[in-house]
Amino acid sequence: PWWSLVVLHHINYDPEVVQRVFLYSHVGHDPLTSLTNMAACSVEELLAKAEQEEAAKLKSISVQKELDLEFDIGNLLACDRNRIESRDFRQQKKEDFLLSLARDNTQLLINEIWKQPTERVEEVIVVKLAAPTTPLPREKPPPKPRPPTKWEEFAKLKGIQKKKKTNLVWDETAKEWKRRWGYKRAKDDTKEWLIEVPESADPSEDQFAKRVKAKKERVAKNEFNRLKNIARAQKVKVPGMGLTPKAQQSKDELSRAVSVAKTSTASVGRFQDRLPKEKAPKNTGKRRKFEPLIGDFSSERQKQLELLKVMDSKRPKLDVTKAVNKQMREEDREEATAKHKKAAGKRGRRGNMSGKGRYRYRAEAEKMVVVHSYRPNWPDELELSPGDVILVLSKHEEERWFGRLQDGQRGYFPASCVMELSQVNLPAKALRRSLSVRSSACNNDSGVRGRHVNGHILQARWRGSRGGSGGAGLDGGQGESESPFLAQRPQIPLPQPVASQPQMHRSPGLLHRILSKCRKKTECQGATNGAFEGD
Amino acid sequence: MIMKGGNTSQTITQALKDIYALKKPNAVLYKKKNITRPFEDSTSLEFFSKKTDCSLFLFGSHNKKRPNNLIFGRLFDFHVLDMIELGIEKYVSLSEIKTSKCPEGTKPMLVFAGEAFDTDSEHRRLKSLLIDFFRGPTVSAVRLAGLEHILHFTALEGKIYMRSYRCLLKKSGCRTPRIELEEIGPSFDFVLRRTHLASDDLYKLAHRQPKALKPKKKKNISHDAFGTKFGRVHMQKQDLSKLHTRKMKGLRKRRGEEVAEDQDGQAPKVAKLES
Repeated sequence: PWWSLVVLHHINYDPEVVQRVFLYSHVGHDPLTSLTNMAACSVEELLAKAEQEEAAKLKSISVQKELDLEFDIGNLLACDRNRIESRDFRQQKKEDFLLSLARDNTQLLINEIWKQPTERVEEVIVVKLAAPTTPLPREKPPPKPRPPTKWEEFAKLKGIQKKKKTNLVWDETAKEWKRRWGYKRAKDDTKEWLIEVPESADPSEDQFAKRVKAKKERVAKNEFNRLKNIARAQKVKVPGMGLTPKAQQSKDELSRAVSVAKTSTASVGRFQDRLPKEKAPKNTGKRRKFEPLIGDFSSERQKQLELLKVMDSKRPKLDVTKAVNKQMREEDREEATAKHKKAAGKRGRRGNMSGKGRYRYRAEAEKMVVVHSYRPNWPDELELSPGDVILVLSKHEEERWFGRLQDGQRGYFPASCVMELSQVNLPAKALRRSLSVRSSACNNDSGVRGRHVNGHILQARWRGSRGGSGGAGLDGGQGESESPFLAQRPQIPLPQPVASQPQMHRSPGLLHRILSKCRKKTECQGATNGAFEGD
Repeated sequence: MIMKGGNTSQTITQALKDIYALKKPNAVLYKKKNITRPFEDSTSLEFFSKKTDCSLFLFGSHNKKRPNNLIFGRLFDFHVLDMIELGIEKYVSLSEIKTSKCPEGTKPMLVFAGEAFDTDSEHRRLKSLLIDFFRGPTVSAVRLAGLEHILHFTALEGKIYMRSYRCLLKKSGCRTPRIELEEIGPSFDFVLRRTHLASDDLYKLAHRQPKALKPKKKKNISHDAFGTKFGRVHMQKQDLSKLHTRKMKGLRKRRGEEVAEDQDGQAPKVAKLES
């Protein structure tokens, strides 16, 4: 019939029409049986043909495989796990075999890709890919999580949990839900219209203004802390709280401000001039570091036990000798600088003090022989006659030395009058050791009598440094030591070296000063002189 | 990073150039020879990777003992993770196959065939390395017409065959096109030589993803066995007498009762308005 021809024409091009053919066939079946019988055969043929052709079309894109391939659409990847028969491989030409295999696999992959959703982007059809599923190693390690903040650490240590608070709070007076904090919040004490004046307060005080002021202060403090936190996080150094501008500033604050200002130059204050009487700042640099409150328990326990042990032990807490010597050294040093400046001014000399000259007690005293006679011009000078053996104690100045004669006289003399002995001195260490033994023995006896401590040490040193006199001299010296010294003092009150005079005046309160100074920080600058360790 | 070793043959140089052409915008080919042995001392490789910020490298060399040698490798955190040495047995270069090529920069499709790529551990690592090497940049969408380039790897009888094809999308009756392939690119016949694979824990460490990349779970969504999506809606307590439901005509009360109800109904209505 005519419509069958038409349908045939369409079948080759539009598969949808095939379905319509089915409908027509069904419709056609009922009313016109004779016609449809005839048509049925041809329709069935048609349908069979249509099916065949559809299969053929699908065949063109369908591939038969034993195992399904695994797809990773995100990477456009397909994995074929089927066995490849080596027989087939060797039969055909390699390239053709590989080509056909590739074609099959690619067809399956394309089928899979075409199942994904597509969209039209600027007149181009684009298929959206899912995320890649095959795990591949990263190029670089993942970034580390940020370190916990100070609060987070503290909260963790204390076991503080984060509690979620509601944003709104019921306000009884206003009978509505108000914010917990912020604009128009529930409990705003600055907005109260009635404030009870407490009994202890001044009646003329403005309580409202007081509250407003307190609030402003809290806000300012909060802001300041925030900035400090930022500075700490970014490791920017800011001056401490003590440098905020104030009406009245104490001496401490002013000095701290000065030091901060000094170090705020490009060279961190290295080339800043100092005022004539200005002292170097004391507490610059590292301040004491305190252990945290809740730290290492074992170490804390250890420290406390050690402390108790120390407290228990019978050893004296204060090493008197050490303290005394330290004090004396300090005083001498100060005095020497003062004296030297004065001397420099007096005699018009260059203040070129040798390092050795500062210390009065020298282990290596030199024995010299007088070659020229000398008559003293000043009260603190010695009379020299040729042939005397003189012990040079210090070479303060180049031409003017301080020494001691054999009869015990001490004083200054010109260096040109003396000449070195060719004798070999005792080794310095032995000297020092003998000195230390002597001096400690002496000191232990006269621990309290600060007055004579100085003298003892002086004598002990002189005795020991003599060396040649030997043990007898040393032993005998004990009894003598006091007397010559004591005797000397009234004998030569004036020719005494200027340095020791202030010493005399100072000595009564020496121990007091030492004990008071005990708690102060020592300024032990530079290397300690080995000569004083024995003391 | 594509670099040459102390001694290279013509095959190797040509092979390196071809692979560079395959990977064009995302690779760097060094012209100078580097006298190093990656399997013995990999410090210079690490130095180069730090300089160029590349984590994949290809090192070509030629000795009497190992002719036509290619070392594929990758680095993690600028330290060598995996290195696999492949020897070239047969090589056909790009220039020898005279057909029109794909434009450079196209994302290739990768197909791996053969059981060895799943069973043998070394082949598995090799597969992962080759995927890493040859896949292009990760994109979210791809133009359908631009799916042209295919790299096909076959593991067979201890050898690995790499072929590069261009696919032509032919019309088929349905939406999905039919594929026809034609060979374009370089074809290699590799044989697996030495390997230097990372230990298991280093490999695992290299796979660690940061927490941020994990897909975020959406709350209040659950799925049942059939795939239906469920969620919970939270409501306040409702006054069921005031619900507005569909009015079923048959359930309505009769005339007399209705009048009484109307009267009752009106009074509360009025009260409501007032309040």
